[in-house]
Amino acid sequence: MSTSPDPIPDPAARHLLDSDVPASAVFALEPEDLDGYTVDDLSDYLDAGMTPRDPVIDISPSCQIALAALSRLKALTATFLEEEAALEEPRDDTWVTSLLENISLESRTGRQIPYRVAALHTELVITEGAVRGLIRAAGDMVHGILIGRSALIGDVTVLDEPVTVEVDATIIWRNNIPNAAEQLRDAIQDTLARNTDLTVAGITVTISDVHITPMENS
Amino acid sequence: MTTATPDTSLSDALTTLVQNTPGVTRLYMPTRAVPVLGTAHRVLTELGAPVPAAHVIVDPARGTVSASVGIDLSKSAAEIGETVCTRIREQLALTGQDMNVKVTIAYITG
Repeated sequence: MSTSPDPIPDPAARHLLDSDVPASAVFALEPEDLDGYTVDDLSDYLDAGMTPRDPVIDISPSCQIALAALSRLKALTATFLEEEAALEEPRDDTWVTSLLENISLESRTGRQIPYRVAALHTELVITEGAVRGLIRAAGDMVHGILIGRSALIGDVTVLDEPVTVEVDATIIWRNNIPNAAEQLRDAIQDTLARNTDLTVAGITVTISDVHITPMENS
Repeated sequence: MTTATPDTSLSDALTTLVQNTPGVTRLYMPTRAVPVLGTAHRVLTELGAPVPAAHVIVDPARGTVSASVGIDLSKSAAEIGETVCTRIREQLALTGQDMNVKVTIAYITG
């Protein structure tokens, strides 16, 4: 695992470098090693039936987050893949690839986000990676939209510190963008209010891509 | 100089306790990604090999108990996490120990 951040390869995240964003937020976007593994490594491991067992992967929260995110992606993309498979035309894999790349980003364990706990000598935290998983899951509940990158901007390690949520999303062609974005904001607001003690000052949704099926193209 | 060793028996007991807390993912079912039709598309299927999802480490020398858990969303994350904290504290009290407890919700499934 590197100690210094590499240049951010994710084009969707580059705008963060151009704005007044804390360095910690930019570092949070550094591609994560998944405890030394990549998504492809995990795929190979799983394709091999998880034998021989790799205890690092098996107990790694970040690897498990990636696997959970991949699982959700499966459910969402299955329908689209079936539609496209029925049409014998060249496929555009870039949107799926982009989503897979962002799963690597969000799987990073990241910062520790505290809860208010009444008991003495007791600390309860949730990892930034888990919260990103919550955000993605909330997005999965909104029809016609797929979350790509998500970022928590602000010092999430301090209670009551206002933070903002930035989300890039792909919308499926023929869905109303303002309505979908509003539903996504509401879903994220709800899940963060229910499951964290974060003080959410704002949620920014950027529709960065429109997925058009081959049928629509023709 | 002495080297602190984790209390494995207490760790195991607390791990079992935590695993049996409602909302905590006792076993996690990994998924697999496979290419489809020779393209970059992938389809993911569940593997039949669940792995443990909760881990507790007790360090008597430092007086700390650290738990890492995966949870489902059958209740709110805070509720499940607080229940885990409470159970650990109660178990420690039964054994006459007072340690600092830290519970980390590491990932969420379901």
